[in-house]
Amino acid sequence: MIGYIIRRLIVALIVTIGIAAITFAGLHYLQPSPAATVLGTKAQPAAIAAWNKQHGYDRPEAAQFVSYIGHLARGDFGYSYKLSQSVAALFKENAGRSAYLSGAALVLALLIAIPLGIYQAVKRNTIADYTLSAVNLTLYSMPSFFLGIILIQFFALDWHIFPPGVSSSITTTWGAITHPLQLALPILTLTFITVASFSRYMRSSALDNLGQDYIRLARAKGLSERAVLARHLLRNACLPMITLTGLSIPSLVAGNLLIEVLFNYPGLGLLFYNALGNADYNILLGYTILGGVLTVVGNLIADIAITAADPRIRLN
Amino acid sequence: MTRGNPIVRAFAICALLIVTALAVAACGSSSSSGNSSSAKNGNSSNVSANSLGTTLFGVLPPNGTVVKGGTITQGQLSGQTPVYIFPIINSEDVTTGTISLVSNLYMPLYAGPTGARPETDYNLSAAASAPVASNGDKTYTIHLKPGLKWSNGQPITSKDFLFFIDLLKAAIKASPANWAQYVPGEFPMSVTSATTPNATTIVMNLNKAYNPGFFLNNQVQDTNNVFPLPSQVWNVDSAGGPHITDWATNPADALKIYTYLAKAGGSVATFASNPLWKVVSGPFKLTSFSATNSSYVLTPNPSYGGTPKPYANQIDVNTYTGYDAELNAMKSGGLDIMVGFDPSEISQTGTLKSEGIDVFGGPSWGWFGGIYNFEDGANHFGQVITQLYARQALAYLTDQPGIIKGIYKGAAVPAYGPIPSAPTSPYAPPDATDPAYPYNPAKAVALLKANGWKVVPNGQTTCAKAGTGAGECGAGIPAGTPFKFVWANQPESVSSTGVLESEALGSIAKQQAGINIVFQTKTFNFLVSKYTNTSPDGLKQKDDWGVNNYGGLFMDYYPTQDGVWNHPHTGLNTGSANDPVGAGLIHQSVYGTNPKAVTNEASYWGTHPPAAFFPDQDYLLAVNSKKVGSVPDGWMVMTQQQWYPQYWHLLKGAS
Repeated sequence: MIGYIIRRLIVALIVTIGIAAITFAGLHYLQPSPAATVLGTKAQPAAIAAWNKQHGYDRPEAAQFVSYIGHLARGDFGYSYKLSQSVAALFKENAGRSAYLSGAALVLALLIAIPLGIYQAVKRNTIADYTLSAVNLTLYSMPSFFLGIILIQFFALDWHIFPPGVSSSITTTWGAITHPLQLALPILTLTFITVASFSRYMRSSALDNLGQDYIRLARAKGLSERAVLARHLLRNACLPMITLTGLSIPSLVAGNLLIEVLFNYPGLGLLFYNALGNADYNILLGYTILGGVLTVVGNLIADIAITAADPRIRLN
Repeated sequence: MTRGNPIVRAFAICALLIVTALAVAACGSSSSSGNSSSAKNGNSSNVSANSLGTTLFGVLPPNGTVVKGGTITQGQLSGQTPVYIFPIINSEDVTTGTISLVSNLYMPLYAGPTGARPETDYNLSAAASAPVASNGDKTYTIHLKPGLKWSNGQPITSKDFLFFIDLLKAAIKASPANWAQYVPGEFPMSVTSATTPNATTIVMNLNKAYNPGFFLNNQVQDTNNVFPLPSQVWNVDSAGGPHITDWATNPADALKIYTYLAKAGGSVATFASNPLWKVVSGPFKLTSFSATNSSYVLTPNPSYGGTPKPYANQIDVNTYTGYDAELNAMKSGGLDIMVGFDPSEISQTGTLKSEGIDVFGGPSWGWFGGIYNFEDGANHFGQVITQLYARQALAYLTDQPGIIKGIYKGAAVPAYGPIPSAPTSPYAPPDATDPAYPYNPAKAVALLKANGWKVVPNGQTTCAKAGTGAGECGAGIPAGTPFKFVWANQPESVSSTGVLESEALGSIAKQQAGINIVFQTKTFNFLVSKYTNTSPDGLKQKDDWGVNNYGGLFMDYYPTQDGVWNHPHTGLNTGSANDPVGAGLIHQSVYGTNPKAVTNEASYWGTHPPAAFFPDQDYLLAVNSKKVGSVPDGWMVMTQQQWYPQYWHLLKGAS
């Protein structure tokens, strides 16, 4: 197991450097130096050259990349010239709010999707199952921002139950937690989309397990249906949820770009979105690398967690 | 999965339809409102508003009965938020939000505009009157209003303006990019010496004579970027450090002060807490500023010496991710004033009106369109476009009324030269509203034929008679040269109207005159850094483009095109315009004594267009007119993307 983890970590490191190299090369191709963006359209060539020299953009690209990786290893993602702050500080500032938004939606989604999937499996091929499947399929195929627009229209603009976006006065994670109404619509949007996805897996997994011998044995022993489902089916049927949760880690930390933009919620996704508009070079680079690292780490955590949850699975 | 019975499946399909219907209903509620409003606003377009000095889209929110106090909320878009607070704003940080914040905290020497009109508003200015020229226009004397005070109670004096000049000079010597407004050789580097004979007078001696209109409306007005600064407080080079008093005679010390203030000015996290920025002269003080989303709160500065004084007790400036989020906040009552209203939502104005939201707008001050490349070697286009008749033909093929109606839905005004037909300017020539070359494809075709071209409508027009004589194509244009060139636009996602109007021209040019325009899409950064003949790197691409439509230029109130269409290969002359007559007129505008010189210059550019001029789009705004009011100038100034919240007030009976 430890050997497996070490091997995966080595692979993760290689993948991360690969992601960094591709992103770095791509951004450099589009914009060899942010000098023109930073200094503006009136900047003279001499000023641009001086800026490039001062910030190391006059060196060969390979040298710049090695230097960037060196800084990255120390947690230095560079500096945002547009926001006058280090990218690491900006990530730290925004990560908590993104984690809260995605985390709250993930927990809610799990709380709904697991019993819903089991319910659909038990009631398979009934009106209730078909109806829920249809709703799930519709939500699953719907882009998150589109569902968000629908919820805004009804819950905010027509019925005035929730605000259409998060107030600008909410600037801390604690502020977000203590103002549940403000975040109701973004969390609900993410929750619905996630439930639609998770419950399909849960239903399928529960269906598979309901046909297994251990379930028949449990029923034959005279256990109540509730006990069969809660004690025997739940743990085994939940294994796909572990994988799905692990794969949710990137969005959990890196933010849900579209939802944050739609609901005016300051998180990492919104930071990236604004950086796109401002050509904020180092944020774009750092965010992409962060997303890549989190995807690799999320996969690894999911693999390890599923081994812990199911002793029959061995990593090699 | 087993097959269910048909009834069950039908039920499931019904459920699916219900969910889908919900989605459609949500869209429908928008689209139906759009339709109904479209019907209500079928005739929405700009109307002349002479008393306002411009044209107006929509209806201005009423002034109403003033209620003092209370909180008014204003929106700002992320990406346009303040990123700098020190009034000497560098090229890196000059955003709409930065200029707005700084103008609210610091009183400009010459503030503007006055409503929508590109003129100085002395009610908002630290200067009492226009600069007085003497010594053959080489010396200018400026009088400050007496009795002005900083928020710490100290008087605002002429030394505070001298402090600005000396810091600015030191900053520009260190790097020209340290001041976004700087044009090489001009203010403040043109000031050879300055004296302060008394507390409210400053006398500046310049290195050469400048046209008085240019000096006021370009040099020291400069779009609210010239300010007296608190020399008694900011003359430090470290937090809590000793006051430096020799900044006027020791440029090294002036640079130290500038360097310290500039660094502190970019620290977003300390905007509201740094004691430096507590000393203000503008109508407001900064009470809080969020480093997270750049939302901020302004409260009145009791020492403000301008008029009007702020009516509201608090202005909350909240950041939104986009127009949609901002509009949703308005509809739900969470936002009072939306600066920047998405033109694509223009059909909603009728519905919004019924909800108490007034949408209005007016054209900006500047010119917009495609810049010709007079050095484009491809198809000899540089030589072709050098010919006046070729530019006249393209002007005749530009259907500005059609573009305004079809693309801008009425929210734009014609612009046939560097001065648009609105807002009105004292410098505007008659042909700003009466075009020399109105839309007339037949005249375009006739011009081409008369100058040696074989015109093939819907085909490819070519030069049939090479040569420089009458009835021949012109110098450097061989027989067989096609009238064909590359036109580069920003992506449609960034500037949809820019793409659509150039395509409209392209379509008419092809169909009517056989002129083939090949469209390219490039990013803004690419267009300004690569498709320019002002740098060695840009010149490598000089044969790749015939027209660069990166947008256009917002102008100072004195509309000379100095630096734009003179001095090829420098400044903003990206297409190497090289017209000796035009350059001579620019020289008169800048250095001559004739107050009408710039009018003559503008008129010349209207008849000798160095660019493909397009209509001037309205800047739109939305206001909760059930809650907030202002005098007309308070609203109209916002059409120039400049907002003065001291004009805004709550209305009697507002919830």
